[in-house]
Amino acid sequence: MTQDPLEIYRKMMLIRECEAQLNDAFARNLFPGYIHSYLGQEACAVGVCDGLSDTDTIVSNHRGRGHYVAKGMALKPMVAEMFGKATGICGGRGGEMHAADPAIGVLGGNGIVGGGLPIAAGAALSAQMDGKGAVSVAFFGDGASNNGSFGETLNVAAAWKLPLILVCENNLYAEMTPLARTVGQPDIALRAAGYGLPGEVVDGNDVLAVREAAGRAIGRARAGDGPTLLELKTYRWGGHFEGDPRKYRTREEEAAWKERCPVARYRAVLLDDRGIDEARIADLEAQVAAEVAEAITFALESPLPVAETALTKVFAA
Amino acid sequence: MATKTYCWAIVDAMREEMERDETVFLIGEDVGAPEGAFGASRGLQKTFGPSRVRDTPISEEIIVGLGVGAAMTGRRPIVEIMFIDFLGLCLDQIANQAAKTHYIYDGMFKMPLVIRTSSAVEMGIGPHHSQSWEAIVGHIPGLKVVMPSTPRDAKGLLKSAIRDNNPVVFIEHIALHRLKEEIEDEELLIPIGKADVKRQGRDVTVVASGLMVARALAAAKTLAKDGIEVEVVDPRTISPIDYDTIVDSVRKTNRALVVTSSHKQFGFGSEVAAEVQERAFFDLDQPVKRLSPPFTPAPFGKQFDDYLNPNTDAIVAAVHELVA
Amino acid sequence: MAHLLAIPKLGLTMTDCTLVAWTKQDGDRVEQGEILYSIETDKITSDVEADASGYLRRFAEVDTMHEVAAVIGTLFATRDEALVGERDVPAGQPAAAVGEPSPAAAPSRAAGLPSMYKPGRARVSPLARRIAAEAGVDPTVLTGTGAYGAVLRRDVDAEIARRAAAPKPAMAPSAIASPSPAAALTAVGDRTRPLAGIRRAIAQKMMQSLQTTAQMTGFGRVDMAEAVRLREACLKSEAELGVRVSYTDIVLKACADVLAAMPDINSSIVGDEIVTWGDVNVGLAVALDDGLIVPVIRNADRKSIADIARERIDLAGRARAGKLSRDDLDGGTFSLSNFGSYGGDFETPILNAPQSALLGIGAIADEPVVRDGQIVIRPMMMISLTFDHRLIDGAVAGRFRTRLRGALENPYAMMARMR
Repeated sequence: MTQDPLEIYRKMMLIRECEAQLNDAFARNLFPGYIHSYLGQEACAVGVCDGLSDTDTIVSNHRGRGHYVAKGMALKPMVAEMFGKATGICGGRGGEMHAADPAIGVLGGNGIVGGGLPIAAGAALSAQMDGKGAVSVAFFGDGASNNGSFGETLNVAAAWKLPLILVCENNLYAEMTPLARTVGQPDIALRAAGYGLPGEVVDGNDVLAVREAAGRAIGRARAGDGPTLLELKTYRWGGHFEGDPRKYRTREEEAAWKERCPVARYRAVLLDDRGIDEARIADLEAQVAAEVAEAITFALESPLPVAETALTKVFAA
Repeated sequence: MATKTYCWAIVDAMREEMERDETVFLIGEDVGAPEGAFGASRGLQKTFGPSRVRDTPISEEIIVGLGVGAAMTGRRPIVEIMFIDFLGLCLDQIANQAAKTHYIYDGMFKMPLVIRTSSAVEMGIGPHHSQSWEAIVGHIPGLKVVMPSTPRDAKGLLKSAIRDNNPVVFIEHIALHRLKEEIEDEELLIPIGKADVKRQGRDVTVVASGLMVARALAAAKTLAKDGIEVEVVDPRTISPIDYDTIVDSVRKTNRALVVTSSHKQFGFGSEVAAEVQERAFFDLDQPVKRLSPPFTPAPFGKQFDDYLNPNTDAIVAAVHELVA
Repeated sequence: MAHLLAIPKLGLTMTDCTLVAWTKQDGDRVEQGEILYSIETDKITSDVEADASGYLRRFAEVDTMHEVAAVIGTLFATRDEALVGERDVPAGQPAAAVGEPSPAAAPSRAAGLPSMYKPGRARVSPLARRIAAEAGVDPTVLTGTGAYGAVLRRDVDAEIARRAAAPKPAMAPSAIASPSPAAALTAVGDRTRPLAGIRRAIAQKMMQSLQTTAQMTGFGRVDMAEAVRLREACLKSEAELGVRVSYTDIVLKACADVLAAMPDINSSIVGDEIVTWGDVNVGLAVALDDGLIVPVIRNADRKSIADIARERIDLAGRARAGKLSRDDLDGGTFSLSNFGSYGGDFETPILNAPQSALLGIGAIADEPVVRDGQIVIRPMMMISLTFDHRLIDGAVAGRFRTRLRGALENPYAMMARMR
């Protein structure tokens, strides 16, 4: 776990800047395809990944940039991948929903809601067989919790005590449908009990609370005590994708959640509780903004992959 | 040399590969203590323990997903989907995850995953246990699809599949499990993607897969009495198809029949027929013919199976039409 | 089970026909033995009975041409099946959409005639087509032994074997058929144009004639003094006759007269049989700007010279205007070619297969000849008779020439025979 409180803030700001500047690029018609923004959920990725090392694996989803950054993926190739450029971490063929880096345990995003949960369980099985104490994390949303793969994964993980942390970022909207309309029980964490694993509801906008809960879950997994379901209650500031008119919710609701901004909340903690001065924080913020701007420039200036390369790597040697 | 059944050939292949490579493991419904629904994992849990030969819940999606995640993290999983009819429950993991991971992530991950599954066409067990779905997986780029018709092929191809760095859907046929053949004691690896000419002939090429291979050979014997020499080509691998061997044979015989347990519509037979005419149109003296069950589900009962599926007589008749 | 309605072969040489009428509509019930449609060949119009019972679905329209064995309709077990294709044709679609069997119209396996079997197209397997091209054989004229009359490899192989077994002329047919001048001759100013249309048809017909018959040409000389006199008389009576008679008309009439008396010449080899034609139909070669066409004067032995002249003028005029119908061209049993009209004396014309003989005539010119020990000047004409030596012996051909000469040197006998 990171001891430097500013490092946690730096990661959160990296995600925040990345999402803000990508939205800006999208607005200026410089971005190809969809953007599934992670704005508002920064505390989830950073809080969970703070307890992981490179030998631990994560499986991400549609809304994966927060996870990639928090797990330590290099910024330039990650951003270039979002733009589908040849310099991207997957050579540009993955795009906005798919980036991976086996060296740091990122097993990819996913275009299929719920598609990543069983894969995370497989990585956990592998880690269990290795017996070296590595753990696996599945990041998914409230939408995926209603997919069959969720139940199958929880059941097997509990039955076999897999070192798996199931992180449900409940941002209240499954794509464009409010969660309340599709579930009879709004606390997803309660479902864990039925499968025989611990479940916990956590304030997903409080990075320290997430970090603490994830730390406990990771500890259990490393000790061989099996999986945990964490439900991080949070809020997606943007629509399902950039440009989504968000007819399914009110601007008042959005404003109320922005009042609980996870980045601002942690900034206040740094100022008030840790006595870090404003100038140092502002300096860090400026650095991060420049770093992201540089990555986006790098991505924009990078070449597109050659179309003929589509024919390669269908099969591994 | 020892005479082995198709079923024991499968067991031997897995045993040899698990002994050779400790990253190989087997999971699936009833594969552990029950030793396989059809006995195809006999003795393996006793030898390798409950961690490497593991019973799963009846949850096809997680069975394949466990294999995908494990394969991405350095293992060589064999996962068993008891009947190919259950493919619908795990197709996302097979088609979107296993098949595309190597490709999407620009080759950063390998996917050494074997999905063993069985067809039970013609075994009289009704519409959810009687399908030949090789075309469904054959349609997905990134997947290899293997369908052996003899014990020796089953062993050699399964061993190759386990060593392959790509996802392989390995389709057995339960009716073939009792088929016997002499298999050498030495290491046997049969390359994936290579068809086998099971009988040489000059008059008609019969491309037959799975259960239909033995029937095509029986038909060839009957036809030889009338002086018609049939060449029987067993593709063995459905995808990638060994078009070269098939087309070479058709260039020699100028006539082709494809016999499958799967339907004509959008099927393997159609694929072969189309490719043959593209590559060898001016070698064809007759339109390529397909012989397949009619486009209906398979109702329960042997009388339906016997009626719907191509038999030796039907193959003989179809060949006669081609040489008429 | 659907039953396919195929054009029956009604005569030995019938290869195609025109569908002239249907007696029933789509969806109508048809009983076996009922008259279902009528076809017209160059000989005759025939009513065709249904060879099975069922509900009718027609693929072919009236006034369309069809080869023997072409499928022109189907009898279905139910009325719904017979009509299903029709319902599938969207409103406003032209009737042409009905001309081909659509998949919807052929729901059962037996009825499923793929479009490659549509009427009017030679069916040759791809392999047979390739081998035929390599061997210089036109596969579309072979008799196919495959399904729906398709020409298969074995049919081409048999043709190649037959040619190989035939006595070899100095130049083998294949050597004629497949030279490669393109490789040998390339010079500035060469130009190419597609071998197409009537030129292609002529090319094929000429090659086929030479490759499938044993042609021999015999020559003779005819004293045309009486014929000249006859023609002069005709010209004098032009107003009365209403037509200007030519030498061609007189020669044609003479040929017809001899042919009626010599049925061995008025015969053809068709497949494995020799057919002696009942009618004497003489084709007359007419040169066009872009080729040659041979319209037929039917029953010329029973027509007067004036009738023949009128018909000749009509046919030649329509030939040059491109207005001949198939009826004008079919059914010839013998042909006449007047190469004298462009200055020829002797030529060896090529048979108009399946006819077995063709007469070429040169220009009439005054020549010195010996009559009763004296050299005299007579109007002489050369004749060249090409005949199929498979069927006609040299002596028979010689007799024909002799009789023809007799008819022309004394045309009054044939005129006397006119009814």
